[in-house]
Amino acid sequence: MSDQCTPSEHTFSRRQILGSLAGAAGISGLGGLLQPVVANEIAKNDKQVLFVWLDGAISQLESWDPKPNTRFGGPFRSIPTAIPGYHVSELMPRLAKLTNCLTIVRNMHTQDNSHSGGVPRILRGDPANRGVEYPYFGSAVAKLMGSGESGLPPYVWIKPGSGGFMPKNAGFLGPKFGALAFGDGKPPENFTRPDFLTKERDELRQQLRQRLSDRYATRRRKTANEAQSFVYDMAQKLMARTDLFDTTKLPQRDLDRYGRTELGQHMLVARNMLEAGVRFVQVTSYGWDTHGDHFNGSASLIPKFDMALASILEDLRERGMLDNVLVVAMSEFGRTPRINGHHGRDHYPEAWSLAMAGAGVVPGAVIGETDKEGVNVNSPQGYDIGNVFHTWYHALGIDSRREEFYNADQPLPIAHHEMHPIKEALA
Amino acid sequence: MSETTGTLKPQTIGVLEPDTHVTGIQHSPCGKVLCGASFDQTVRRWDLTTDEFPPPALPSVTGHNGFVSGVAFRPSQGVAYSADSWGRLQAWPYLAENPDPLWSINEAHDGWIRGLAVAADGERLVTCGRDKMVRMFDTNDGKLIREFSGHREDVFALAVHPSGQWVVSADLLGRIVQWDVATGEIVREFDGSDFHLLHRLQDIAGIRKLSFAAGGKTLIVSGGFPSGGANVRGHAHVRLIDFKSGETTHDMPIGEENKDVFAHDVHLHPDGFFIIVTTGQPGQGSLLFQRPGEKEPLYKLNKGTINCHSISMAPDGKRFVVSATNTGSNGNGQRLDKEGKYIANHSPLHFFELT
Repeated sequence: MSDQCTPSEHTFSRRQILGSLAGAAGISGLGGLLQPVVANEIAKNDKQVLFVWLDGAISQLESWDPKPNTRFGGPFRSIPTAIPGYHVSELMPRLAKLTNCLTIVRNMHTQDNSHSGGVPRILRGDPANRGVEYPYFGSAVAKLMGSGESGLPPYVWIKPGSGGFMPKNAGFLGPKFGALAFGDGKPPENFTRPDFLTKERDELRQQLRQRLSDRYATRRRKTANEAQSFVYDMAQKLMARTDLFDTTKLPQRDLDRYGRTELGQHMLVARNMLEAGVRFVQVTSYGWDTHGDHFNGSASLIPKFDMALASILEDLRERGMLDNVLVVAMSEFGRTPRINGHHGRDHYPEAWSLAMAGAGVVPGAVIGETDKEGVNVNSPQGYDIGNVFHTWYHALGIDSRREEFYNADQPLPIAHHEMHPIKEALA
Repeated sequence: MSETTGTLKPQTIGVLEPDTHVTGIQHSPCGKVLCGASFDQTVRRWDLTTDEFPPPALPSVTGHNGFVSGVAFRPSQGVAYSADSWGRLQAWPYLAENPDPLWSINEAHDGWIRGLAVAADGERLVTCGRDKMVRMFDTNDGKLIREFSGHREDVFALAVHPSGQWVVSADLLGRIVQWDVATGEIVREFDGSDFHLLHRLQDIAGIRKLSFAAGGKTLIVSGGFPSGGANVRGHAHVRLIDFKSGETTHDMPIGEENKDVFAHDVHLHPDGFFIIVTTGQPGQGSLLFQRPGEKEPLYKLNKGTINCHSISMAPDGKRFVVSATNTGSNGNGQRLDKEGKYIANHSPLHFFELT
């Protein structure tokens, strides 16, 4: 079990980003077979996404759906929120005050209780099997909505540990739409122009590279060329914005509010990225797979999440950005109501919760419920991740019922074709 | 089951199967009642005055919320004290048929009370909690006598020195503080930082129990050295500190790394060996006997006694009880029984006699 819970990470540098992207482009080629139908109006859409991923799975019982004083309720109290009658765990005092900004879905019911299967199934929207690998949500948004006016990479991923370019996230869309991961919230190594290289000489080098690339392009597939060009452009743009990674010049008050933790500091980088116009920013926190000592673990982890998410929600709201940024906070599933012998909770896709805020979703909505012990969702089936993908697309102004992708003549819906948006969640 | 190398060997008397997690078991000082702090907001009680096994249940102590953290006794008055994870503290007559509260305080702490102990004179009750506070109450009426303020993190464990002069408490970061009972001031600190680990976002507390032995000459720190979060990995550990000098006299790894992650409870037997219970990964954790300074246990049992959280020695020094966990307690997804009901776990109570 523990082996599945360890994320694989790879060290990277600017050169490695370029290498991994070029390699993936050469191998894949699938993207070239697919012709996306992207409406111009979608591409002009300036909505953004902040996607907070708590890897390993936060417990719904210690967060959004507490069941105090029940058989599986655990040790913590619940506290009132800004929504009359709705309580959350005492571990989230600041988010409790912001529930009037949030849309909380408490009747998630999904299909996979393993990390290895569950993470990609959730992040790809668990579509019907059509013989192709679907993109992660971030890659889909990057494809459908593009970089926008910022010209910055459309899909960035701020995570602990090392970073790199993650072409596999893009699935059939092709490597260009993979995630650019910034390990420990930092830019790649050797990212800035070295002192010995003048700006003029660097420009000359770029011109030479461009000429060589153009010649190379005449003998290669379009997808590979696009990816090559994309990543060089991306690197150039990012080199001009190293300020996005620098949290040291931020007010001390911000550092304190977000929490002087890995998640708090990464959320500040995410705020910089969103302010700069990055289309899709994912922030990942690892270490949530609390099979053992769960209650002490939750007492340590969840207040740090509370600080970081509440702070960025407050800031987005204060800056008038919340109408434009869809915020999502979730995991691959929930955690078991029953408490195991190591005082942990195991994986539980049968009844769990997620939270959203911002662009396109209803503020102050609590959707669905579970039974008195949190064992089952009360509505007949609850909502699956396919419903959530439809909801997200609609919130971003994308009609998910249209067929957006084609593999030759095969239509590929962007979300599960038998599912529909969660209407109560949509503004 | 391995053989002990000493003269004493535990023989199983029987196993009592309560229907909930019972994590803090305690014999009353007279040995007539066994009490169990439970996850179902009660203190379970069993009558040990008969020869019946399993012993008959007595009415439970109610009024608590969340998890009941523990029980402490004042034998001269026949009163017990229990605390819970919502901050409630209450006193009740432990031999009474119906243990109605004598007094209670709903917010003795802001949230989880993690430990409580009665001073040797019986007049003072000391508690510690997630609100970073250590507090002293009058055992007669629950009146707050003193606050010990200085921990910057969640306080996980405490012990009152047999002299009654000092309280020792340990927090999330492994900071062990000796307090002057008379003034509430910090006397000195002991470094237990190797019992703490920050892993990614998670601060893992390793110290789970403090106790005194040898008339207060030895401070026993028990818990584990964490090596990873989430699942929580590490190695159970017991440290003995000479209380006068503050020097560590023994550092004892307990059991096997990751199989025995936390030593949750430790008792020093008059014959000089420790009885220790541990928890670990699913199906692990054990009951061990180990002498100070020896690397290998005299005895180890992890068949049946898996993921153990508490030990209680009977006053006769021969019988003891271990609260463990039922087998198959872990597993992903929705596990149902034959009748289609969602499966819950419980704490089998293993009764032993040393022969």
